[in-house]
This record gives sequence, structure tokens and C-alpha cells, in this order.
Amino acid sequence: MNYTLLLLLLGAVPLVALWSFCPRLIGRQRGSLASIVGLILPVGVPGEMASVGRIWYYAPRVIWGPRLSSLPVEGLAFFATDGPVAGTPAPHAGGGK
Amino acid sequence: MMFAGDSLRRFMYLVMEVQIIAGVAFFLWLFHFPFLRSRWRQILLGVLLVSAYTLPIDALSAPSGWGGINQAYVSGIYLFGGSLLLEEVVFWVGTSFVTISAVTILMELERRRVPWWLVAAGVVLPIEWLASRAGTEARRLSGDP
Repeated sequence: MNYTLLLLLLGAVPLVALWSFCPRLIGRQRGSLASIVGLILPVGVPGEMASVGRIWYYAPRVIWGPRLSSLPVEGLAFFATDGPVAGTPAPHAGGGK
Repeated sequence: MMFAGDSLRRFMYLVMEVQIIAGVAFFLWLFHFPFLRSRWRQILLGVLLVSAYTLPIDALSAPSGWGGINQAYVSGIYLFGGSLLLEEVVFWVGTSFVTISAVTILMELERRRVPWWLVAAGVVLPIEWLASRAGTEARRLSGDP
């Protein structure tokens, strides 16, 4: 499994499914989802950059190649999708308030 | 002495994760404790939902050779039948918790018609204050008294 496929499974598939079947969820919280991406990137990316190459590494065959410092671009894509994936269904999980 | 240094280093990644996750969670809950406490079931259910999806995918991807972990910096404690490192579980559960707490706050602001470009400020500013400011601004722009 390469990292792109993992990103598709973790990020794109649930997002596309949610946005296809429950478009109102997105319409009601566009600003919140955009904001959470903007908040996660500056918090998550520096820690990830400090860890890659020291605590763990990606096999060159599973990533495209372009990097931001030590971080593969897929790592950035991960942090951009992680927030909306967790944030879209969660506030509705208990029926909302 | 060398042994103690090696033992401490094994928890470096875990400590780094906990510092970031707990730091963000502390500020979110400090500024919005009553609001988030009133929605704790919703947040817990969301964390379980997201973890139930992401943890198995992470566990399945690990043996596929995506890369490797420097064993000197991780605890070596494996959960779920040895399929997931403690640090990975902490990452998914912790980031879900923080993300869902934050989105719950941001959505409440959006529901109260705070402009989209201002909702991120709700992480550290009181919801009531931001919502009342947004209402005042909306009335000013519409010319209502």
C-alpha cells in the first residue's frame, strides 16, 4: 500500500462519501471546516517535520518525492484532510444540540 | 546512566504527542469548559466513530511497508493484538478529541451567524462575546438600530 492510497482511504473516501450522501452537513459548516484546516496545519506540521527522518521515515517507493523540508507533500495533504474527516460527522454523531 | 537516558528517549515521541494534543485540548476546554462539558457525549461518540474507522486502516497499513519507526524513540508498547503502537493510538484518539472539540465550538459560532472568517478566533475567545459582536456588526451593516 502506498501513502497516496492510505490518504485516499483515510481522507478522500470518507469525505467524498459524506459530501455525496449528506451535502447539508458541509453546507452548514463550511466556515468551521475551513477554519479547522487552518488551525491544524500550523499545529501539526512542525511536529511532523521534526519527527520525519528522526523518529520514523517513509520508504521512498511509497511517496511521490516532493518534500517541504523533511515532510513529504502527502504529509501536508494528510493534515489538510484529517480535520474535515473528523470534524464533519462528529458534531452530528449525537444528534446535535 | 546510559540505561536511564535510553529509557527516557523511548518515550520522546509519546511525550511530544501528548504535549501538543494536551496543550491544545487544555486551551480549548479552558476557554469553553461549560459549553464543551454540555456536549461531552457528542464529543465522545465522535471520537469513537472516527477512531473505529481510522485505527483499523492504520493497523492494516503498517505491515505493508510504508516506512519504518526508529525503535529508540518509541515506547515499544503495542495494543490491539500487537497491531498498533501506543503512540499511534494516542495520535488518532487524541487528535480526534481535539479536532471534534474545536469543530463543535466553531460550528456553534457559525450557527450563531458569526462570519466564516472570524470563527477561528472562537478557539480562544468566548462564544457569547463573538456572537454578540457579530450580531451588532450585522445590525450596523443592515442599518437597523
